[in-house]
Amino acid sequence: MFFQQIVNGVLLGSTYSLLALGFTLMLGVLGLLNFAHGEAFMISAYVGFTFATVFKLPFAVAAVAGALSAGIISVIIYYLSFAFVKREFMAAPVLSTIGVAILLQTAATRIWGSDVRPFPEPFGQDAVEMGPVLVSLVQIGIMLTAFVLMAAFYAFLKWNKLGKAMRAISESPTNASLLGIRVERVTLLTFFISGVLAGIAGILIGLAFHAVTPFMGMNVLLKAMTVMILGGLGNAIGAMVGGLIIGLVETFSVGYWAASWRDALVFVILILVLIFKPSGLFGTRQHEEKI
Amino acid sequence: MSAYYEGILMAVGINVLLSVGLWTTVSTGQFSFGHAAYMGIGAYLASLLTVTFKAPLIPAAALGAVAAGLAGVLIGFPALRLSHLYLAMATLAFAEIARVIFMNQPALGGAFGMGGMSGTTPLLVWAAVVVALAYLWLLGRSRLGLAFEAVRQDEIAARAMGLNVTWIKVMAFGQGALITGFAGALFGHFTFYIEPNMFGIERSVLILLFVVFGGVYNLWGAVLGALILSLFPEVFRPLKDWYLFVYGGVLVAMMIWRPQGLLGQRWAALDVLGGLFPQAKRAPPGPVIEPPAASLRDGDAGDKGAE
Repeated sequence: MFFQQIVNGVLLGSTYSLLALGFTLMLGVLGLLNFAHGEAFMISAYVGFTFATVFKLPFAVAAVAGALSAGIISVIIYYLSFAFVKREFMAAPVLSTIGVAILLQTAATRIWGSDVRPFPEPFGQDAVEMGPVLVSLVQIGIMLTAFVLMAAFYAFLKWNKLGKAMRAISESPTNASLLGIRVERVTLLTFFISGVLAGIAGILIGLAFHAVTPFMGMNVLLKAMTVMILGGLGNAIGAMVGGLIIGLVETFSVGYWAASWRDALVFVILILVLIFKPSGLFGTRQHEEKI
Repeated sequence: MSAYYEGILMAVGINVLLSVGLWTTVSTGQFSFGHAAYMGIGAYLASLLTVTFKAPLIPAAALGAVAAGLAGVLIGFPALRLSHLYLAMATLAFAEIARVIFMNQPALGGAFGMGGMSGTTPLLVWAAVVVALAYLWLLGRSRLGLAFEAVRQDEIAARAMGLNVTWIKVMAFGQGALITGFAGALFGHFTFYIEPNMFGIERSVLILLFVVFGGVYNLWGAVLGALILSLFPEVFRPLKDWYLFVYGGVLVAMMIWRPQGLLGQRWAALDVLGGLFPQAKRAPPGPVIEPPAASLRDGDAGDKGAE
C-alpha cells in the first residue's frame, strides 16, 4: 500500500510538474498568469483521443497531434490575451485568459460532449511486480517520459541559447532586448513550448487515467498553480520537486485519509505557502516581486 | 405577473447583488477570484436555518450574510499580506476549500446538496438591491468610502496620510462578503435546491465577469454589467448552451478593446485595474503614453527599489 501510493504519487506529480513548468515559464517571462493553460492540456487529451479512436491513426501520431494542438492553442492565447491587450491595464491579460478558458471549455463541451470519454489504451495493461509494488508498463513509460522531458527542459533552460534567452527575458525584458534578444519571437516560442509541455501532460494523464472530460483543465491547472507556488516562481527544479510533493500529498491523502478532502488539502498548502513563504521552496525574492 | 417573469426578475436582482458585493471588495483594488464561497456560506447557513430549524427567511438570510461577512474578514486579514496575482490565487484556493467543506458536511447534504427552501419573492430581492445600492452610494460619500478610494489609488500614500489601510481593506472584504452572502441566501431560496458545485470557480468567474464587463471603477458599472449579462441568456434563447461561449468571447474582446468596462472613466479605470500591478497605479491621469513594448514590468522593479 505505502509503496504503491508512492508510485501513484510520483506518476501524478510528474504530470503536474510538466504543466507547472510551462506555467511558471509564462509567468516568469511575461508576468502573465495564464488561466487557459489547463484548457490547452485538456484539448490535447481530446485531440489525442480523436486521432486515435475516431480516425484510427497510430497512437504516436495521435500523441504528436495532441501536443502540437496544445502548442498552437498556447500561441493563440498569446495573441488573444497578451499581444493585443493594452499593457497599461495590468489585470486585463489575466481576465482575458479566463475568457479564453471559458471559450475553449465550452467549445470542447459542444464538440465532444460533456460526458467522460474513454482514452485509448494502446499499450495494454501488462504490469511488472517490483517487490511490494505492482507497476504497469504504461505507468513506467509515463514516468520515464515525464522525467526525461523535465531533465531535457532543465538542460535546455540552462545551456541552450534559446533557453538562456528565455531566462534573460524573465529577468528583464528591456535588458534582454538591449542585448539583441528578439523578445517577441522568444516570447512566442515560450508560449509554444509551454503549450507543447501541457499537451504532453494531457496525453500522459489520459494514458494514466483512461478518461478525458472537458472540465479536467481547470482542476489540473489549479494543482499546477499550487506546484508552481510551492516550488518557487520561475524555477524549473522547484516545479519538478513541487509536482512530486503535491502528487504524493494527493495520493497519500486519498490512501490514508479521505478522497473527498484531497483537493482541500492541496489548496490549504497553497494558501499556507502564499502567506508564510511566498517565494516557495526554491524561489528568489526577485521573482516574487514580479507579481 | 407570470411566474416566468417573476423568476427572471429575481434572478437578475440576485445577480445585481452578487455583482455589487464583489465590486465593494474590488473598489479597494483587491481582485477576489473566490466570491462564490461567500455566496455558498450565505446560501447554506440560511437554508440550514429555514429547512432544519424552521426559521423565517429574512432573519436566516441576515445570519447567513453575517457569517459570510465574518468569513470575508477572516480571509481579508491574511490576504493583506498578499498582493496582486497572489491574492487572486489565494482567494481562488479559498473558494475551492470552501466547496470541499460544503461537500463533506452531512448536515448540508454533502455532494447531493439540500433542498426544500422557498420564499424568495421579487419584492424581497429588489428591496435588498435597493438597500444595498443606497448603502454603497452613501458609502461612496462617507469618510470610509473616501478611504476605499484612497487605498485603491495609492496604498502607500493612503498609509502616509494616516489611514489605517489594514482596517480599510478588511472592511472592504467583510462588507463585500456580507452582501454576497445575503445574495447567496436569497439564491438558495430562489432555486429551491443548492449543491456545492453551484459555488465553484465558474460562479466566481461569472460574478467577476459582471463587474469587469460593466466597469470596475463605477458602482453603476457593476449594476449595469449584472443586468446586461444576466438578461443576455433570456433574450438570446436560440443560443441555448452557447451563451457561455459568448460570455468568454465578450470577456476576451472586452479586454482587447475596452478593458475598463462599459462604464469606465479612462483614468479611473486605469487605477483600479492597475491595482493588480503597482506600476500602473502610479500612472498619471490624462492621456496615456503608449509604453515601449515590455518595458513596464522593468520600470516596476525600479520603482520598488526606490521605495
